[in-house]
Formats: sequence, structure tokens, C-alpha cells
Amino acid sequence: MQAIGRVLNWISHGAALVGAVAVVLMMLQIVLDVFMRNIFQTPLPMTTTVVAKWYMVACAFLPLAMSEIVNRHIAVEVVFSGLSRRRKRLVGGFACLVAFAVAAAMVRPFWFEAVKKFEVGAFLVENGRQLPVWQTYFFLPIGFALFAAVLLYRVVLLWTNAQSGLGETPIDADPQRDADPAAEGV
Amino acid sequence: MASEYVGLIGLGILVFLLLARVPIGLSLVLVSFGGIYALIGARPAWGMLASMPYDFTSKWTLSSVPMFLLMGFVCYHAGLTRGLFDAARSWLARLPGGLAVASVCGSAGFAAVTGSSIACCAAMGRIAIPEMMRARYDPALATGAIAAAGTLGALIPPSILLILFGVFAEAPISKLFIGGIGAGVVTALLYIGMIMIRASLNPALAPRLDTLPPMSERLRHLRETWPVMALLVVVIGGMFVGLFTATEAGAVGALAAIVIALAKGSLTLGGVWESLKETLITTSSLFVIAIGANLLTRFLALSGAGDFIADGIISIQADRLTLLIGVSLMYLVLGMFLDPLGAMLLTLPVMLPVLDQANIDIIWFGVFLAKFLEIGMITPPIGLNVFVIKGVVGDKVPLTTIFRGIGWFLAADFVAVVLFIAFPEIITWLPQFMD
Repeated sequence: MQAIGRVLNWISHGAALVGAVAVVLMMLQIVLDVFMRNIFQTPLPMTTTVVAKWYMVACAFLPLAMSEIVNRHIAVEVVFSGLSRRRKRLVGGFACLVAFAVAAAMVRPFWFEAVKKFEVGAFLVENGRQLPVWQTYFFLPIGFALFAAVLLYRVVLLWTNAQSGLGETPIDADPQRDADPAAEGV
Repeated sequence: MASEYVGLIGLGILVFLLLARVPIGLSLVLVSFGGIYALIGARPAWGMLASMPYDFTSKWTLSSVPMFLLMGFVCYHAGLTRGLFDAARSWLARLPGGLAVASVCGSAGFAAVTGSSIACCAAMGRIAIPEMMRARYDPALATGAIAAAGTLGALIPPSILLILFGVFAEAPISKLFIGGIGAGVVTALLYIGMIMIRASLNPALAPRLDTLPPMSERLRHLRETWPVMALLVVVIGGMFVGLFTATEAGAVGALAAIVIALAKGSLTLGGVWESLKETLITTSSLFVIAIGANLLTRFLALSGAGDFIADGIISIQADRLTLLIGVSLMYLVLGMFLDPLGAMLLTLPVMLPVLDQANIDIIWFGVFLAKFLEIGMITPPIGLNVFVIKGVVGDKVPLTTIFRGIGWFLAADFVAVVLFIAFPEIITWLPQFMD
């Protein structure tokens, strides 16, 4: 069980790393486009399309599992926080099971959509240039499959006494004591 | 069964799932998908689920969300905003409650480089609270000031809440940003006024400092705010003179923050990774909810439940003031229990038709809504800013003391809300120049 957790952690962070590369590339390409447009009056071709179809999709979906590992998917704690530790494990396990079912069910349509785009070699055309985008459709099933796997792992941890290898933030952590001053909200 | 009832049952199941702590985004997806399936069948429901998340996410306008987040995190991890409080303190310390006033000004400055009230609160709390405690300030005032001033983070641009509101309500984000300035400045001034009046009436709350540092030191502190000033000039100035759009401003700001931090030598490789990691975590958790809310909008539209509720509200034929008081009370209660983003995205599908029918200015409402959702960040029982402050002060100040300190700032917020309703120009005056 611990070995599975470690592998899951490693893959989730690997996927998030690809998302991080997308964020850096997004920043550099937008700034380069602004620079080229203002100095040389020649914008970088296809910037808006590459940013929207490649970088945005990668940075929104690939880190889903990592966000779950650190327990940062937003949930309503108002009833949950008042429960005893034992009930928290019970209700928390149920919540993760429902979440797992939804995330896992989403993988199937995303996968078929991605395969469909792959088979037709989906691309976008802008000013006579072609940008292949079929690859980006695979970010969704990958992101949601990893997300579902982490949720299922949590269910097992919460409902059994198995030792975790995931390095996760427990969902029954005390928000007052464990508030991370660096954690971002909106 | 009438389709409206399918919609209302769906909303009932949604409440159950939310209370059971199922993540908001996935609860929204489950209920919306189930409802669409029941209303129009399996094929369109699966089709919508397969294509909508990609289509929604792959939008150019939304790229400003990760970019502004990155800018704020780089500033936080590289300590670029550290000089703000020092400068405000060295010039304002002799005012009644000077250190608390300085922390409100520091937070307003930090708000201009971050879109998040929690980041604003955490950054200023670590610097200003120990300083106020050393000066024997009342702990309730010291902690309450920082928790409340943190809410300026989501009002003064950039603001993640306003970007998402703009996307959902199809309102121009640049106008929402400019509208947020008025609301943020008025809120900050009310906080400052309240602190000064209280400290004048009861000097024991905030013992007055008799001496100001010499002019040379004050000027040195002022010079140390250059990273934030440089960022403001680059981001706001660039947008103002038309070098780039509000969407591109986030990327320019993020790169500028990294360059400034490198020039200062205050950004480590660890800091870069932490900033990127926080950006990714926030972006992904935010987009799951936004996708769920988008599906809910379609479900409510198909079922007619959204219109059913909206018509119900409109049929009361309340005047603008009554409607706004009702809306305010609703968001006040929601904000007490829900995350601001969740509260906003859950309610917009129903609220937008109501606003449309009642002829309420969308820019004004976006900023007004952000103000209410931010009030929710400091109200019990789930005041996220308060938990952040508690994390900073540890066992030195009890939670009840922090909430007690916030009470006065809530009173100032009440005045701010009344002013926004009575004088909508506070929010709408600046954006009209952008037409």
C-alpha cells in the first residue's frame, strides 16, 4: 500500500511538473508577443491559440492529483469540521468515494474525445499556419485518472488502518491549527 | 415530472453533497450531469461532459488567472512587499493607531500585486502583527486590522474573483478591475478612519509612538518600496498606455516580479518552485469548480429552475433597494459558510437573470459581490483570513480575540456597503472613462 502511494505521489508531481513548464512557457510567450508587437509591429504567430489550447489546458488539468494530495480542492467544511475524528473518517471516506466515482466516470468521455481528436489529427488554422491540438485533449483523461486514483487511495486510507505512502495532507486536518500562511485563496 | 422540479431536486441533492464534504467542483458536475441526463437523455449529457471542460478552459481570457496568481506568489516568496509596511510605519507611526493604519496601507499596496486576500493577509500578518504586539497594541486591534485589511487583496486589482466574475457574466475584466479600485480605496479609508477614531478615544488600545525616525531613515524606507512601485508602474502603466491588455498584464507582471526578485537576489530556486506549485494548485482547484458551475448553468437553463427561482424573486417586484438588501443578506450568510469562489459560482447562474431584469449595472454588481464575498472571509464560523492570522500568532492570541477585533472592521464594512448602494459612482465613476 505504501509503495502504491509513493508511486502515485511521484506520477502526480511529474504531471504537475509538466503543468509548471506550461505556466513558464505561457508567461514567456505572452511577454515575447507583447514585446514583438510593440517594438517590431510583428506579433508572435498563434500566441493566443497556443496559450489557450496548450498551456491553459495543461496547467488546469495536469495538477489535479497534486492538488488533491495537499487537500486543496475546495469543499464545504461547516458540518464536517464539527464531527468527531471517527465520524470524520467515515464521512470523509464517503465524500472521497463519491468524488472518486465522479472523477473516474469523467475519464471515459474525455478519453474517447481525445482518441477521436487523435484519429482526425485535430489542428487549428490561423493566418495560413497550422497548430496541432489533438495532443492536448489527452491532458484531461490523464489529469482526471490521476485525480481519481488519489481519491480512491484516500478512501482506503480513511476506511482501513493502512499506512500511507502518498505524503498527503489528511482531510481531517484542523484548519485553525494547520492554516498555512502561504496557502492561496481568492 | 415538470422540468423545473428536476432542477429543484438537483439543487437539493447538491446541498446534501456539499454538506457531506464532497469537493464543490465534483458535486456540481455530478448533479448537473445527472440533471441533464434526466432532462434530455444520455447522448447529449455525455456529449456535453466530453467537450465542455476543454472548451471552457481553453480560453485566452482565462490565462490571466494563473499569470496573476504567479505574480502574487513570486512577490510573496521573494519578500518583495516587505518594505511596504516599513515605509508606511515610518511615515504614519505618530498618527493615533499609527501601526494599525500603516498595516492597512501596507495591505492596500500588497493588494495591488496579488489577487488573493489570504496571501495579502499572510504576508502582512507576519511582518506587522509582531511589530504591533511589541508596541503593546491591543491584540484584538492588531490581529483584526490585518485580517480585515487582507480583504483588500480581492478588491484592489488584480483580483481573481473579478476575473472569474467577468468571464461568467461576460463583463469586461478591465472595467471590473478599475471599478475595484474605488471600492478598495473607500474600504481602506473607512478602516483607517475607524482605527484613528478608536485610538484617539481610547489611547490604551494603541499606545502612541512619540518619535518618528529621522527623515533620512524615512526616505530610505520609502526607497525600499521600489519593487512594488516598479511592478505597479509596469503593470498599471503598461495597461493604461495600451502596451498590453488586462489579460496580458498578468504575464508581464509575473515576469517583471521574477526579474525584480532576481535583481534583489531574493528569489531562490525553491521559491520559484513553491510559487509555481501554489499557482498550479490554485488554478486546478479553481477550474474544477468553474467547470462544474458552467455545467450547472446549462442544467438550470435546461430545467428552467434558474428562471423559476429568478422569476420568483422578480415577481416579488421588490424595488432596487429591497432587492439589494435581500441579495446582500444572502451573500452575507453564504459567505459565512462557503469559500468565496464557491459561493459566487454557485449563485451566479440564478443571480445573473435577476440582475438583467432589475437593470442593475453588471460592473457595479461584480465589485459589490466581491466585497460581500470578502466580508465572508472574516466572519465566523469559517473566516479563512482569521485562520491564517491564527496560524501566524499561534497560541499568543485566542481565536475569540481575533473575531472580537474584527467586529469594528465589520462595522466599517457595513458603512462601505451602504455607501456603495447609496453612491454607486464610487464603483462606476472610474470605469466610465474607459468607454
